[in-house]
Amino acid sequence: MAITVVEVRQLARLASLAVDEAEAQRLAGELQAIVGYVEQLSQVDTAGIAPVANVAGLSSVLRPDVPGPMFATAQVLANAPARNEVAILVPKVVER
Amino acid sequence: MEYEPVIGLEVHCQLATTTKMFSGATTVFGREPNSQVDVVSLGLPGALPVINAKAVDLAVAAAFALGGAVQAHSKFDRKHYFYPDLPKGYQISQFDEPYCIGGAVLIDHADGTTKSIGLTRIHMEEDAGKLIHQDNGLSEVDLNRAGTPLIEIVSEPQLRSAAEAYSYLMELKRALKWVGVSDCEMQEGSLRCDANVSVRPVGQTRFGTRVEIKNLNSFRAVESAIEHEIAQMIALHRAGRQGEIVQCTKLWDPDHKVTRIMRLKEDAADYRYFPDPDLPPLVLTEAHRERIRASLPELPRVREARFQQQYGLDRTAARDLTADAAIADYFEAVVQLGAAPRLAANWTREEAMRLAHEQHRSLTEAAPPATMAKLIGLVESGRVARVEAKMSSTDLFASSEDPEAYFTRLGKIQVQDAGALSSWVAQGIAQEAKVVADLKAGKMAAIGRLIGATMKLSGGKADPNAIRAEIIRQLGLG
Repeated sequence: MAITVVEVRQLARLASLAVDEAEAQRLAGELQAIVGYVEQLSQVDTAGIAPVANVAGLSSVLRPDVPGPMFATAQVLANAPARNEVAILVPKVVER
Repeated sequence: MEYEPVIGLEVHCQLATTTKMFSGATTVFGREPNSQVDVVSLGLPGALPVINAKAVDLAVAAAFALGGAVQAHSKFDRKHYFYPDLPKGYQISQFDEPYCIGGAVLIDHADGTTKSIGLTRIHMEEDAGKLIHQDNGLSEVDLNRAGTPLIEIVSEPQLRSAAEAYSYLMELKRALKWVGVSDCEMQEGSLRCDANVSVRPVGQTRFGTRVEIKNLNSFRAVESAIEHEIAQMIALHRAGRQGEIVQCTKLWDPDHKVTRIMRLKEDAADYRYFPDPDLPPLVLTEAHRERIRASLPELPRVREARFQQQYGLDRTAARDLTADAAIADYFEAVVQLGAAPRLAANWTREEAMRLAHEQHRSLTEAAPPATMAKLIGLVESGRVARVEAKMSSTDLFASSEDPEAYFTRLGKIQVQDAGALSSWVAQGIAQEAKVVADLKAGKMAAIGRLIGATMKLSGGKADPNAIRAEIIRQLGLG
């Protein structure tokens, strides 16, 4: 798979990152190298091997529906750049 | 040319758990903002999600109630988008391996026919937080709802009118509430609906350009928005301007009763789904699935059919009585206590439901089945006039007195003494010579006046049906 400046711009948009032209050029090269490295995996013969979504070898780790610890509202808001007494404040964004 | 709407619905339903899908924060509706938040709901780095077993069981119960095939193996994926109501930057959902495939919702048409609306799939996911937009250009973020367990039920595009979409939602709500999966309150957001709508010439198999409508937060809004969109699309087709229908997402504006474009297809989100490495796959064993299937109550449509067969109820009565499991249970409790089924059906639908509604109490609290069964018995045997029983029901149930004692105390037990009845009727006939002449001339409509006069003579203690029979006998009208 070829990573061009077009893909980089698209990725940057999805990640809400501002990327200038020079950066996009550089990132295209770097990402191409990463993808190329991972692409070596496609040389492995996986015929007859079931897809694995999780490598921990676990399944169905469940918890009972019992309340656990929660934060006080002040703690929830502590790291927010803007807040009032009860909520985090963000610039009004109209639905995506 | 005739046009045909094609509608598919995506319904989100909050599961009735105590805690969130992947953590122990509680999920009570209407609490102070940001008072039910923990490390996972806040998306703090390193916080790990763990699946709520109760949410899984409720989701599986919903799947069985809707006839879906619960999958032995499913997994959770991350769906990425940036929005302030989603602290992690992704929503945990199920993408290509949902826990349930297929199923159907049966809807009834007014003409008595039934249509099956297929389900594509049902998957589990977590809810996002809530944004409260303010006038000052800012929005408040409330994360109480973030992480609440949801199922999303996706229908096939098999609905053909706004009315069918409405029936589908009502039937879905009935089934989900029935098995205790959710309270399904659209006003509180525990049931939410998006509609995909398109229109095509009748006979064409290819679908027309599709519009997705969001922000439908009542059953009526769903119906009105779809109706509006269909009318608009058909008008464009008829004007030869169908090219102006563009694939997009619209918002329903309930105040102005219009749909407005929110996002065009070119801006469609790219969610970059991938398996969530924090969550192992979900394996539901045969034993686990069977345990849940076996625990389900008799489902609403089955019970509705049984009510018609077993108790001789008409369709409307059977339907009303199975609107909710609590109503069905109440009705059957009254029948078990000896009340005639048809009378029990009427009294449940009219009096018991009215009292429960007025008093914001359960049926059993507002009108205890034992009292109801006795009251119905008195009416059935003719010892208390139906009108009298209805007029007194609020007072009777409030008094929690035994019905027999209650009506005896008020002197409302109808006298069934044949001698007394006969003498009241004889007096009535003597008083109402004109009416008697009319009756003898064949004007049977006049009998009401004579019954009324006789009733008055009895001081309201005679049974009107018995009076009527006695008049007919004495005047030799039979």
